Amino acid sequence: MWDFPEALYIDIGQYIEKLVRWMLVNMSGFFDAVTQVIIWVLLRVQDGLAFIPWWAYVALVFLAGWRLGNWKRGLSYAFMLFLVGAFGLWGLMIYTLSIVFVSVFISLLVGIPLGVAMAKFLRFGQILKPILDAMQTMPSMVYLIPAAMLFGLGLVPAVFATTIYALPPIIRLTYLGLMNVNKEVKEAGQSFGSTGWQLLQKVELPQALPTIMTGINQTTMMAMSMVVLSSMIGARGIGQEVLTSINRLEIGRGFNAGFAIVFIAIIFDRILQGAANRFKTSE
Amino acid sequence: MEEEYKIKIEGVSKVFGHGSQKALALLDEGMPKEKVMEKTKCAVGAYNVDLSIREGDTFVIMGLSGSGKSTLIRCINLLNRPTRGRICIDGENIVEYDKDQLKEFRRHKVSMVFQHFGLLGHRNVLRNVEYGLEVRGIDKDKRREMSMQALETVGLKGWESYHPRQLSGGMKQRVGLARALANEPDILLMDEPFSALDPITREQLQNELLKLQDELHKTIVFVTHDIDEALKIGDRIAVMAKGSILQYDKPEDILKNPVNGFVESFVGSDRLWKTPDMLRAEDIMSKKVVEIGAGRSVAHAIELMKEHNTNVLAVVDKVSPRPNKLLGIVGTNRLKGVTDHSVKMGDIMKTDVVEIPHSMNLTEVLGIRKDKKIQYSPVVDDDGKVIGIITNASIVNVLTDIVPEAEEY
Repeated sequence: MWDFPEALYIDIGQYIEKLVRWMLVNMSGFFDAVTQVIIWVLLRVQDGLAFIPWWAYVALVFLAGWRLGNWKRGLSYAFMLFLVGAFGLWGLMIYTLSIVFVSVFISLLVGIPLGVAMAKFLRFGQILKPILDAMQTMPSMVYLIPAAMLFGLGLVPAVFATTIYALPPIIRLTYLGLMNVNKEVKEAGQSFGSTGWQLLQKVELPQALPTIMTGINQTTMMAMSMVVLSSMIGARGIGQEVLTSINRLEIGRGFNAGFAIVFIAIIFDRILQGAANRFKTSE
Repeated sequence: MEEEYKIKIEGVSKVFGHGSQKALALLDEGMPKEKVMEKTKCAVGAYNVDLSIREGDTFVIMGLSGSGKSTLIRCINLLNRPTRGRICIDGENIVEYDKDQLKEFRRHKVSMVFQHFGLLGHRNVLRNVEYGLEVRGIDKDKRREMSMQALETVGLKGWESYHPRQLSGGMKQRVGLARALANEPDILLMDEPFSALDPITREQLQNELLKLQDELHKTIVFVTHDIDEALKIGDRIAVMAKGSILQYDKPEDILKNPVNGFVESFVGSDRLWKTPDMLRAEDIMSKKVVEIGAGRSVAHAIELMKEHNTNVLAVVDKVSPRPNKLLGIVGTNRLKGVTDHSVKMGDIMKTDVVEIPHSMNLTEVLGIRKDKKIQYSPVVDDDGKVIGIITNASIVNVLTDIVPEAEEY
């Protein structure tokens, strides 16, 4: 009698399932179109990334590290990238990167306007905040299921799941950045008779830029972690290596892939953070 | 004279927070502000403020922090929308403006300078100054020209391409001022513009503002908590506390006749002494003038002196056509040597007296008295009628009233 009575069981999941199934039936045209577009963009990005020779990446990373920090940093980032190649994972890395880039791009495209809307319409913000909390706490693998149902297997559901997972930080930090714009600076903008759009574009967004840059950094990090998981629904990339080594209990192979992911993440993080700091000091 | 005023603030109240109307109703019932705030969780910024600001005046709103002075100045460009009341500028009630009218009003009529400058960190000096013109849609060459002009006015020529972070506080505020001036507004709102600056820079900028105002004749509303600044800059000063105006007047009148203890303590009882320019001859004279006709005798004069307990008499013309015109003065020294008590005043009076106009300030009066080595200076009004007399005793009397009480040793 101490057990929770079965009569009181509620199944929230079934409604989400119903929704997804309904979308599948009634919105298949839409999803097909989205799939086509994403695939097209992904392939272009992949082609573009593959077109650049490996040493150009290494050189680029070195330059970025050097300009944003010092030559030692540049050198260490370049070495890390070199190691990824040396592990034999260069080709898979290009796949991974293309998913990350496309997902981050879509996240920014959707997330920044949403962040602005949150800051401008506080009521909307109050509704969105708990949703964002839920999105960030939800175990990331759960996103894979509807993604796979809606888009099938492969790259597109990976992009979809990654985008959803990577979305909250950019929304949140855009919102935060806008809310923290110095009150007097905003008043100054208003006092000269700016329209709402002028204020946003000429005052608020530029002032919030350092925070938004931090958001871009976090979103990219989230995308990096999700893209690994998305290999579970058939996306190519370094995550595939991890998955294979789990299945076959190949410790060495697993750690090679793991380190490669860590290296890429570090390079992204440091370079984006360096760029964000650059904006901060230019205030 | 309705049209004489540029800005007329009529019964303006600003209450922040939900239920502001209810809070206002409670205030109208006479409930004290603290109690209303506690009850309604609303913050009362300003309550029933009436002010009239003349065109071309520098109008200072002075008060401690939390007195509502910043709230009030922000009502004038509707950064704060009054909860109640009218603000008429050039006869139009701006509170009723719709969005477009407000935009046009802000773009053309009024500019603001902020305490912490409110500069855009991502833009260089020139682009900051251009901001107001840019949102108005003025083309690039024109706005560049106007901005350069404004920068020259504030003495920042050559600094166009610097970023705000590279400038000192004083220079930042010059940029703020140039940005406001570039728009060529009628009205300049300045919210504690010099408070964040060091004393030397502050004084420098105050002087420059005064000089600028001599040329521009803008209507300036200037908020400060610094009484010295208020006295220096203001043509009119309003003293604010707890959201209400306690007094508004000319600076010297605020010093001389504070309406209540609060204003007096705010102004400081020794303030008048520190600003002797504000003391006029009429403030330091003894109002006890005993007049004597030129035809009267020494005996009569001695009687008058005894009767009125004074040692100086003003000799006036008791015969037409110039009745009561001052002819000279007679002091006890003049009488001492005279043995014949029937000598007339007109014969022994000191005739080369220096008449002091009633509005001459203390420093000048003291200067004249020192140069001419004179003891008695009659003070005359605009018609030449004697209204008082300055003696060493009268000066000492006034000063002992003004000078802060000496510490006890």
